[in-house]
Amino acid sequence: MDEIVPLPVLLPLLAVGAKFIIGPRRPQLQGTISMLVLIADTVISIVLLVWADRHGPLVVQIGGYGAPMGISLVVDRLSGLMIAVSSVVTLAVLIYSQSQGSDEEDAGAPLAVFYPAYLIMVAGVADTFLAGDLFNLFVGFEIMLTASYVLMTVGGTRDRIRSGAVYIMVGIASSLLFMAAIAVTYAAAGTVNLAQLAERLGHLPANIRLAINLLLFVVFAVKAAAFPLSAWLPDSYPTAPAPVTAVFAGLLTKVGVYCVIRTQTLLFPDRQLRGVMLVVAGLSMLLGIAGAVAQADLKRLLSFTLISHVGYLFLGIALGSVRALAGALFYAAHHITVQTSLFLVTGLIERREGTGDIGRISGLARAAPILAVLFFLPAMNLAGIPPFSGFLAKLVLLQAAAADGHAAALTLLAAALLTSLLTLYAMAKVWSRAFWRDRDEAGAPGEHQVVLPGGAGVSVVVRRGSRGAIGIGGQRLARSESYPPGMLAATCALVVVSLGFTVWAGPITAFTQRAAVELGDRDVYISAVQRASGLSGLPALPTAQVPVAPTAPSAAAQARGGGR
Amino acid sequence: MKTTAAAAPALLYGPGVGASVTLVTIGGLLVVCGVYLLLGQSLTRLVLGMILAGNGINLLLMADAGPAGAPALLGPRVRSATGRVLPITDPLPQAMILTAIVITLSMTAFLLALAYRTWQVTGDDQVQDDVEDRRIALKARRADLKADLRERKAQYRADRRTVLARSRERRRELRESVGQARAELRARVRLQRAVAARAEDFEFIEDAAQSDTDFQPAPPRPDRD
Repeated sequence: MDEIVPLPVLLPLLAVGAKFIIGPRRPQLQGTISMLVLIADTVISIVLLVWADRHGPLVVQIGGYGAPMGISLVVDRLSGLMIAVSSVVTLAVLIYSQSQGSDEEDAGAPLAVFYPAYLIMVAGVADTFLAGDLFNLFVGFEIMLTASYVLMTVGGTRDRIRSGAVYIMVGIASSLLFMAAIAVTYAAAGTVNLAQLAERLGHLPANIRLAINLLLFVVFAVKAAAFPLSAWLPDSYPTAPAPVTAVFAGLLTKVGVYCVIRTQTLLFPDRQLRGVMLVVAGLSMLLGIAGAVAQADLKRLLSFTLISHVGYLFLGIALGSVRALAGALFYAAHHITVQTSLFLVTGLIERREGTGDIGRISGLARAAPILAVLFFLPAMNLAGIPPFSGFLAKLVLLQAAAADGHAAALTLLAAALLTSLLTLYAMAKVWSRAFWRDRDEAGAPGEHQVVLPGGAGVSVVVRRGSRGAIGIGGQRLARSESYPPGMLAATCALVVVSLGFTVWAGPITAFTQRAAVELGDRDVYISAVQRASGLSGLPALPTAQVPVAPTAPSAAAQARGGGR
Repeated sequence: MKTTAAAAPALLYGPGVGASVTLVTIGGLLVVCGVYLLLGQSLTRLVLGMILAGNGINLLLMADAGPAGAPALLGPRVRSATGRVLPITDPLPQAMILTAIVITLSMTAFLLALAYRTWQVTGDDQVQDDVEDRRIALKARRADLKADLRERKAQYRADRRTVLARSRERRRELRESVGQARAELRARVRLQRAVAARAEDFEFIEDAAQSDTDFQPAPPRPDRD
């Protein structure tokens, strides 16, 4: 069973190599290869998820080298869940973008670089989820980010270059910080293997642990777009092509969240950053949704809701109880699919209307009922209306906050409720403007009736700062009332998957509960890695210098931290 | 090379014990310079900043490996100048540095391409402010202008008030002086009339004096009113 663990990383990379060998002359074959690879990826990750759930964490030491030198790949319930959801989402987005791409290719758009970059990004995401050591995590991050830089600027239009430059510089700054964090970690603990770090960090003085913790937290919070570090997101995401925005919004932020969950539960179980994370969670929720309410462009609006909903995940992580973590995991899985499908629907709307500005779209409910259904379901799901999984996930999180009982947790509970209400308001605003408003009321899209002083009515086309729909290749999209079947099918499939979270909420919450229990019990992870790499416990310690007893590192650390 | 052999009893595991101060200092300096450059807005400066900071962090990783030792493959056969058998250097940081160098190189290439493309599209390699920033800046400017306008209006009103008051004052003064002048004039006219009346009297008397020569009229008093 161990042999298939590296496949989610390897297969996409091999496919990219094969694509370059085949060359650009045979797009059909290339498309088939990507499709097959991602289907295989999905199957493998679901198998991994089931296996990790039934038999405990799967660990592979690459090349058979032991843990401190060799690279461990670990699939436990958390990474199994993330990798399964991410491969389903990436498969759907691939189908969508292939359909859109083949539609655009008639217009002569250069797409040669898109699919390889996309597959490399998928490999990077998988590597990040599988990584069992900090440096491999960094490499996975870098693979993912470098590919995402290409995807963000593909086509090289003025807008994309501008917002891409911001995105790339933020990414590079966080990568530099990550390297520095790794240097500090290695200097302090002499290893970057997560399992070994988990054992050794407890012996370090609290202030050094705090420094490492803060460095890593900042790095991952930038990627997760938690509030003070989220300014880059609503600016850069909306200019990317629709499928790219969809997969970035759904997936890449959750990679950051995954890393925060992994490091906070495995490496820093004493929760030095609990207070910081609670504040970050609250601010992300409230300010994110405040930004969303103020937006008129659909993609920007959704980007802001993304920030606010990352706040929920941080709330779960900050509370740290089993129930809160279970809620956060459920929420993460639900949010990946919902957010991605919302962005895919937005892509379809832009394609139909030529714009994503809700002030200029109207009457979609009658004109395109299928889009209305496809938008309505995930939108209500995002807002957390009762039968949907968004409600269930929020319920679990809020119950955890109420059970925590601390004043800060209760404040956040109120903030979460307010945020969910405002999300509903933002979604209702979109719905009533773009879908329910009469077509005559707004005039044809992009046109405004202007009455001249002489009394003659003239309709002028006004571009109010919002951009028109831009295709993958960077050219302006022709408006079209028809939907390529692949785009529609992929969107439908994702919406159905997101509804699946509602239908099978029971088994899924049970699973996330088990995953959270596993996260709370670090020994499962540590001993699994040790078994696989032939390590037995700690390597020899210079015992004379141990300042804190290994069994009670957290209590002592907290005492010291509290004294300051 | 100086070492911090006993400086950090807290660092238990790491080869951090015995790290070279020189490496750490230079690495820190490079990172500082890199961060300074990264704060700029020109993509070329950003590239340079990234390279400097990346190399600085690589040096920090190098310092992690601890004091210099024997090459890995030759192993314990290498002896130091004092004849001590040297342990091999920790190879892991070197592997990490190699990876980091490759990543930095690829990022440099990508950023340079991006800077070139930015120059092609905009004629400049500045990273532009984002839409929201510009909107907020415009709003702030509008608010500034509005405040300025309000201030000027208030100033104008105040000026107008003082000007009006002054002109009213002046008008009052004028009216007063006109009144005075008029009164004076009236007085003078009355006087003249009186003088004239007297003169008539005088003429009459003179006429009469021709018959009665010892009558002398009194001179007219100036303070008649």
